[in-house]
Amino acid sequence: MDAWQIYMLRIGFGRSLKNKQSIQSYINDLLNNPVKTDKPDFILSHEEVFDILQKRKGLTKEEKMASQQEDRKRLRKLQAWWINRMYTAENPLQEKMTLFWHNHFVSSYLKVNISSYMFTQNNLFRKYAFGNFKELTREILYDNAMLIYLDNKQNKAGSPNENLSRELLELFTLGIGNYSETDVKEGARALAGLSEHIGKGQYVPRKEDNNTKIYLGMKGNLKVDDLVDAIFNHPKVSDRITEKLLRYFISDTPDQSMIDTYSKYLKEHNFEIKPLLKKIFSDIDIKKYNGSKIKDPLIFSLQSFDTVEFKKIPVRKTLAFLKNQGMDVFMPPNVKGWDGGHAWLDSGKLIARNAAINQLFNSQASQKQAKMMNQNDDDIPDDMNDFVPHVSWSNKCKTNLDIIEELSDKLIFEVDNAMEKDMEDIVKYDFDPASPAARDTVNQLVRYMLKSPQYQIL
Amino acid sequence: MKNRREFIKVTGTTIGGLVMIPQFLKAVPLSRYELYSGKENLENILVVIQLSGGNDGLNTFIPYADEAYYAIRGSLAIPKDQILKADSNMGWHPAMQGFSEIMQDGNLSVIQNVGYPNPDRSHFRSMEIWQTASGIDEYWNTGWLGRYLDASCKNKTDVLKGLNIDSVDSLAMQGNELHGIALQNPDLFERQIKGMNPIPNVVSENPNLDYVRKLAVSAFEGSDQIKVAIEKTASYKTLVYPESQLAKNLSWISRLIKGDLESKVYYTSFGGFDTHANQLNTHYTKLEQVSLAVKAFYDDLKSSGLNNRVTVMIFSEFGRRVTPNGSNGTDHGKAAPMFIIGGNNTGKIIGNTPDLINLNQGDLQFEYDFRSVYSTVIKQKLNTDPTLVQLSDFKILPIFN
Repeated sequence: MDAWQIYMLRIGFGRSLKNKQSIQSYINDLLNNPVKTDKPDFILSHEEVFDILQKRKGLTKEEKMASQQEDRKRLRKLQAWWINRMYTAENPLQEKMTLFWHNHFVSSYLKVNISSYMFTQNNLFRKYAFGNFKELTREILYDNAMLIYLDNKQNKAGSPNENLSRELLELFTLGIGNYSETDVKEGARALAGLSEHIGKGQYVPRKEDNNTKIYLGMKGNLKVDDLVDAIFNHPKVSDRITEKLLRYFISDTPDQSMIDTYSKYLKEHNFEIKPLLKKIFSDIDIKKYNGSKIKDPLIFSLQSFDTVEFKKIPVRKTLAFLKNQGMDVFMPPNVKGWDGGHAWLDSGKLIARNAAINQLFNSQASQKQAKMMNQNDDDIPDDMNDFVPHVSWSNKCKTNLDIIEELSDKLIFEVDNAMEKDMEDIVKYDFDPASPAARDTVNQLVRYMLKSPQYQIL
Repeated sequence: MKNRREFIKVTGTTIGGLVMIPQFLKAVPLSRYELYSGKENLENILVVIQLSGGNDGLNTFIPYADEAYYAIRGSLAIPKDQILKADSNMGWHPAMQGFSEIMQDGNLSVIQNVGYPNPDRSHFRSMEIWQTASGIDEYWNTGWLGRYLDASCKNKTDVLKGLNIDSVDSLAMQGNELHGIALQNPDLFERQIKGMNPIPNVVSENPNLDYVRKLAVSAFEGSDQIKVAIEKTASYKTLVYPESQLAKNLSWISRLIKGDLESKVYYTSFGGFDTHANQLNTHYTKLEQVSLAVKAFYDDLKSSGLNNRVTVMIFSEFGRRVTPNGSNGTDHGKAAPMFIIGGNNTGKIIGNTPDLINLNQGDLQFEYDFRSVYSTVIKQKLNTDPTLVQLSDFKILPIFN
């Protein structure tokens, strides 16, 4: 596989790109450029949310459900907005890290039920795409979606709720074995009363616990900021996050020595993510890790759309596909998020991926379907030409072997003899790139590639 | 000769186009499995239902005669008059009507206070322990059922000895060899497999590629058998299952069992039991869904004469804290009851009424190790030596006749 493509699958979502820069300087540009955020206009402000929640109290059951239904529509638009953003991002690494944080500090709309809060959290992740892990940990503890998702809204003095306190230690920072059950309990007392508020969470004085707590060896009337300080003094605090980053960007099974090296680096650099990513991408020869990850359903979809040159994403279809593949954005399955690796695939999911590729190429049917799937989405244009599969090749391709090489370089991590033979059966020695039948033949070739076991791997 | 479906179509249509099921058809058991049940020596089947999130066992199967229950659980306690009594000490949550009826039918056993030593209150670690059957300090990457499949399947192409009908694959079903496949909708699976390229069953130097190829090869090999099972049962009139994902999954499992699929183990899960806040309503809804789905499955199997051949095991990764947390919910706890349905079980309550006074850090003490239950099922229902599944020295419990 082409070196650029190996990198693009890791720093982005597999859209192919080749520019005159070196890969290293391209990655440095992505990391150095200021992070861009914007708010889609269908997202309500927190003031509007509070207003709606207030008004809901006086509504009948049916009216409440209708109001909730309205918000579900906004959430679907938000999902569409985000995957479009991933597809069209000038800075794919920024969206890639936003997705990383989404899968680290997990909240799900299925419990939060407020699209505006999910957006605020998403934007927080985007702002901190290359930011400081410690600061983001602090911010997420004040995040309205998180406070709802892990029940801290209900955590009050005298009757603590341990949910947020436990996951803060177990999943967000230290990991099992590095804290005690007492720390979980004491942490819950420190978090008591921290509840949702316009903009971000605040302590509600009458629910606060102002007695002394002892947390990871720190003693006093501890509050949320103290917990974060205590956690980030722990020698193990950077191990878990570093391992997850390496699994995300490099390999499903990173070496322990690699984890140790970069964990130490992250700690030495005051938990700043940007220098860590620069270091990882400059130290590690990613090409050596070609083939070490199972492709997630998002990359699978977006790379496939890019391959057949869709200008837009068939949004509804894509969201349905992601849901069935177990990667519904804004709705991870539980607080641990997506496990990744082999968990992305089982027999059922593999053949569903194949079926999706067949649909993609079944051009007339897929056009009709795309139209059907998109007709109610306000932000989807009706131009069905956006959804006609089209594969181009360069004029360097003169023979069947040229075209096989060019396309497999872009799509397949490694071609073995059996696969090469299959492909030469599809595009035979007498292939003429100028003939009218060439396009169909190449479509068949790409269809074969996208359905191969090799395409499931990056 | 007309097949069953056409037969119903013809006899069931009146002049006005209304479809009516003739009275004589209603009167016979809705499943026609009895036509096939003449087979002798059919092997036992295990169906595992995992309740994810930590089900509140204490509010599922309730020590209603113990005043301490009401004192401690306070507003979360289920009022005595709503509890469906199982005996003079224990009774079911009112949403568990179905379980109560199966118990009255003599086909449900409860094993009280199931857990393991030095329990972990993390969902993920505790679930891993339940799925792998490891000790607290051991980290295993194979599941107890996966190892059972390794031990019992002589032929490596036995891809359908274990089937996971779920949206996610389970570690419990992963062995060193791949014997199980996971899918959610067998019908869709069957339709989609037709568009697949044949995949060579070869070994490469890349473990990820080998993994994907194995999945593809199993899908191909399994699909023929699934197709046969689906076709065999296409004309069956099955019982109506309620609306829930668990019910859907169980109805598929029932259909595949009746289609004589060779699977010995089926696995499925159902989430939403992590009731940290406002538990009463949520828990009611979840339990009701479980009870309705399992009861439909039980009735379906029973009407086909299958309920002694099929053992259903229901568990969760932990129970919940005895004292509520003040958010009208409960935090992560430890021991909880396990339920066994069918498989010719004794229909008894095994173990003591939960002791609400002598607690372990606010949680119920465990009385039986879950690996004892696993060992009993492996030995007595799946006829395999538990030590072959790395389950050594666990007591066999009097669950089955």
